[in-house]
Amino acid sequence: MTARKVLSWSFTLAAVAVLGWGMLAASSADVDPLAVGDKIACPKCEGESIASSQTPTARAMMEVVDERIGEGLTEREILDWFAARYGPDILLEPPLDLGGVALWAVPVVAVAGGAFLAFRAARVRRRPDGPASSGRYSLVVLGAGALVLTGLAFGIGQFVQPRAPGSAVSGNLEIDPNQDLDGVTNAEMEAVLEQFADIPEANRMRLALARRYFEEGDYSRAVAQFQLVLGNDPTPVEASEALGRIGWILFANGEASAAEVAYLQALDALATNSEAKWFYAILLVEEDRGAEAVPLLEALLDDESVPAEVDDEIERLLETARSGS
Amino acid sequence: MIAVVGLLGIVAGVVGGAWLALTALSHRPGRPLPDLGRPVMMLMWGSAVSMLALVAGLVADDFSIRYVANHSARSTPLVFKVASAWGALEGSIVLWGLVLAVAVGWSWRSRRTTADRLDVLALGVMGVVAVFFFGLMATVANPFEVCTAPAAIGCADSSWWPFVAGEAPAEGRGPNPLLQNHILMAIHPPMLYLGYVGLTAPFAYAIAALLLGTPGVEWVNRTRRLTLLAWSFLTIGILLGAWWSYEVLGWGGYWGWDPVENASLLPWITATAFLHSSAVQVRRGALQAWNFVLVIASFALTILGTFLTRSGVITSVHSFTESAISPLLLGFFVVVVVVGLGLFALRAHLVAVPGSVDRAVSREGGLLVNNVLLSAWALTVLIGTIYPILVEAFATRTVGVGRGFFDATTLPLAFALLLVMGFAEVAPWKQASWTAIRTRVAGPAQAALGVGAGAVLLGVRSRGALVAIVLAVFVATPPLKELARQGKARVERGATWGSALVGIVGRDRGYWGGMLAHLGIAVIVIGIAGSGGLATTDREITLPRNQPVAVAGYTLTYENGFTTTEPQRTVTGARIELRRDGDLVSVLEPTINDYRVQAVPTPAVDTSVVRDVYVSLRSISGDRAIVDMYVFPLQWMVWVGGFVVAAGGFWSLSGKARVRETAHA
Amino acid sequence: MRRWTWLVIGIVVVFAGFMAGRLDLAETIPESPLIGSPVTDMDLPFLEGPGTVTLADFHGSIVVANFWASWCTPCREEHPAFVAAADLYGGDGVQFVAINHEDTEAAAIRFLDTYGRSDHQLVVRDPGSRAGIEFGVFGLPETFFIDGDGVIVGRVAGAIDLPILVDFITQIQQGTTPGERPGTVYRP
Repeated sequence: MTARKVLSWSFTLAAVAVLGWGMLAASSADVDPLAVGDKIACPKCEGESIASSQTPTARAMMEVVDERIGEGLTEREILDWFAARYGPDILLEPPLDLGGVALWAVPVVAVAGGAFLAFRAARVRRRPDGPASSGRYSLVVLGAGALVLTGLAFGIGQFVQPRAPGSAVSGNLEIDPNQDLDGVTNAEMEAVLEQFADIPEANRMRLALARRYFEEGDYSRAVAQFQLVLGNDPTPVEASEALGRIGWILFANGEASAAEVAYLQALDALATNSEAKWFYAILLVEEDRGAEAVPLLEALLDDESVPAEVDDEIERLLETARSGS
Repeated sequence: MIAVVGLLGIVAGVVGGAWLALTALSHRPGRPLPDLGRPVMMLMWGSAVSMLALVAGLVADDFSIRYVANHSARSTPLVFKVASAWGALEGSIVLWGLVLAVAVGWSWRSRRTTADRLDVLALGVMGVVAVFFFGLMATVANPFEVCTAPAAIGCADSSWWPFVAGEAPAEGRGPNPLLQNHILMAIHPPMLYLGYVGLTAPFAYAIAALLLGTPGVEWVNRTRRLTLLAWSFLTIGILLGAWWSYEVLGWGGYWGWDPVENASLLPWITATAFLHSSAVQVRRGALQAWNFVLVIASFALTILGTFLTRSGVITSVHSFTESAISPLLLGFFVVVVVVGLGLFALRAHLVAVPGSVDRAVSREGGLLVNNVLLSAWALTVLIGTIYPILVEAFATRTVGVGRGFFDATTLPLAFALLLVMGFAEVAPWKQASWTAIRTRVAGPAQAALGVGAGAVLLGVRSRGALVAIVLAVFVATPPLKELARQGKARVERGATWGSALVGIVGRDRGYWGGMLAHLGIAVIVIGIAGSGGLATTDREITLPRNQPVAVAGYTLTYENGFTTTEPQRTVTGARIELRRDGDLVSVLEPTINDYRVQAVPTPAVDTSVVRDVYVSLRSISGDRAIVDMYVFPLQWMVWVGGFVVAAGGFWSLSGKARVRETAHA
Repeated sequence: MRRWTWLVIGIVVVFAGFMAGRLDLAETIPESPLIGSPVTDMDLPFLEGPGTVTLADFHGSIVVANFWASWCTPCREEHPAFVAAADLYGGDGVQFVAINHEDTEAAAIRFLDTYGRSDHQLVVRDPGSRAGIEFGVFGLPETFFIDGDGVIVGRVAGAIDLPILVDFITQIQQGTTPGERPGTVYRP
């Protein structure tokens, strides 16, 4: 062995020794938050992990990851923690079921299969040619076949529809500023009442809907709902409200005497119905019967349940009532 | 008016493509070759007119065109108006058509005087592809639809018929914020398209060779340059995409194994395999059948990738909104696979002579192993990407395949590839004995182990990084050694080192281009080892104003915030002083750009020879800023290496086309 | 080799079929694994005014926890339904808690000023998105139903409407578990 060769070998061995030591000394670090984050999909973005996404949700989730690592949880435990809340699909790693194992086997099988084919190809000798068909003929046949197979593919697509058809699209993906909300909601309420006419809340819901129509000025619909409430075994509170408001609608339509009857019935059902008192007082003042209105208004001023900011209006009407009489 | 002209251009493209396909494919052997000049010209003019019309519409703010109204605005800077021409779905197809037409023109022109039946049939196949893409533009992806129902901003409804009395909205919606945020977003897609579409030519020649049914390597020889060109552009396109991701998205990475990223990587892998295995076919006559498979697969993967990008069947950061073109792309993918592979099954035995690789220990043996590894890699990435669809076809659940799978499977395959690269570089063609290889490998192996040991002594403790560094040096040493050997000989003969190197590399450009690409790969590998294996990450660092905070050996001081309002966006940023040992390293200005519909953070990066300091702004107020800081050692090597790889491709291309004899006559 | 090629073609065609089957399907939100498990204790500060609320405090009362934000358009669509329902049940055995998720306080208050409040609805904030993470919220809006024993018994992902609300509450009152259902999605 020449001196040169010895030198060369000793250099190589020394290098291998140093490298080997370096590799062994490489400590497998603690749980790396970014590595964990890379295995969790960002729920509000498409195709990004929480480690790469910059959305507030992803950042908050990374914070949770950091905290859990601080508490000493392993990567697996942290992943399970998120899977328990978002479902297993939040994880960006296929579960190790049959398909998952097959997926991980792909590179191994591909290399082995490729090596086998390459080995075989190296052995194969030229075989005798088969009968040569015309290229044009092949092209026409394959073109037609391709069209049929494309149709077949889309046909398969019709049968392979595994996903639930009701799509719950998350809010941040749906933007439509032109919705007429109130219209939709009233219609929905009607729909509910049709569906759930027998539930205990039906009257309260009717009242809520009727109130809505009442405030919108849609009096005919409001009256219809109020009347349904009255016909459905109402509590005194419900009946009183319905009667009071029906009275207001009658009054607005110029039928003051009918309105007065309704108000009196309303107060009969529930003597403390301040709204009915207020409506009745307005009717009396308008009808130049201010003196009769005064006790009603005074009672309203004394009523604790009437909000303080309405008191001004009551005072004003009270003055008109007093001056008129 | 512009819409009418543009649509006429598209129609000319359809007619030109159909004319080309019919003339070429109906040609019967024995008859004089048809003159394809006029249909080719018609296709080229049609594509040029449609692209120019689209650009004109964008520059002139012609909001009567729906595409312009929805993808541009008056306030959009001119350069982004032009870039909008391919920034959205319909426009990207127009660009696709233009590049395809140029590829057809090149193929026709370069063979005009020497054309034979192979060229005619290949042009016919390209004509069919052109009909498909111009057909898309003429129907479901028409970029010249006239706006009939303007919204407050942009266009709500439009008509295909260009002569309808349109109504233009007062203002357009403007381009996608990501497009406006960085100029790279304007040039990265065209580069990818040059690559994707360039692969049409080898596909067309392969199909033509199968149709013709006469054996030979002519189809490989004639498309080698276009393949190299396409591959080089694909390399640049992927690289720019990664770079953009790094510079713009601010998540501290550049490759996330997103389905769309994978879609661009897949044809690159198969094209790389083809570049190597075609060399084996040209030199040694082996792997003839396999080359057909690779070329057909590469082209089919470009269509599949385009489909995946545009259909939303796989969730991805990049996906365009769903549109009517996705079923058509899927159908075209099926047609390409059935016709391509079907022709291969029926006729490969006529065209491909089974050649043999006599000795495993030879360059062709190495290239064979390289092909096995590259194909296995491509298959792994493909299956990993589509696995969620496979699962959903059988189970009612969604499954995500994240980077964990791709990292874990790619790493060993990549290491094996590098090892084979190092061996194949020194192995001679035909055959070699193990002893001969051993002596040739000894030097590079010693250099690699020595550098690896050096890295350990410098403090590198990451196993993956150490293996990567050793293998990269193993790959880089043989070409450098060869360069030094030949250079020394020239210098001894009186040349200067500079002229010697230029002379060597300039002589056999095909070989040295390949070696340049290998060196580039080695540089990338070291860059990935450094930036991936040795990075430090500090997230959510709170920087109180004017108070230095020590992070990873640096001191960060948040000096002040700033806000600038531009017509299309509001930029909020922080001025942060970066110091090391008290010395000012740089002043970083990471920002958050708010485009009203979307906020895009832009990190600030300080690059030096040893590392990148990468600071990304998370939130900011007057008295504090919250940032993420990453230190990526040797990050620049990823970018430089990538460009060296592409440069290698172009360098090979710049050499004279050498006509090689068929090994198996 | 031929046979292999035909096999590959067949596989590709079948696979293309799988993809074709997915073309028209919108992204769905996976079912919540939380249904049937007890709600986690956490303190949520009121949006307006001091003090906090703990969801587990409402023992004996049904809790409807709705995640919303001012920037979320479907939240505007469903808001009247919540106000109406809160008024309807009037804090009587059903507690409505609106959890303002990933929003600014000012914008959230402006939202309530514009679209209305109910006296019977508690509006709380979600600092650090912790409640959202505990409930595994994917997107806004999402609504969780918790029964009187503090067990999560229902979830609606997407905009909710009054029929769904009443249906779920009625089911819970009758002692059944309504479980999962998608909300209404108004497509233009």
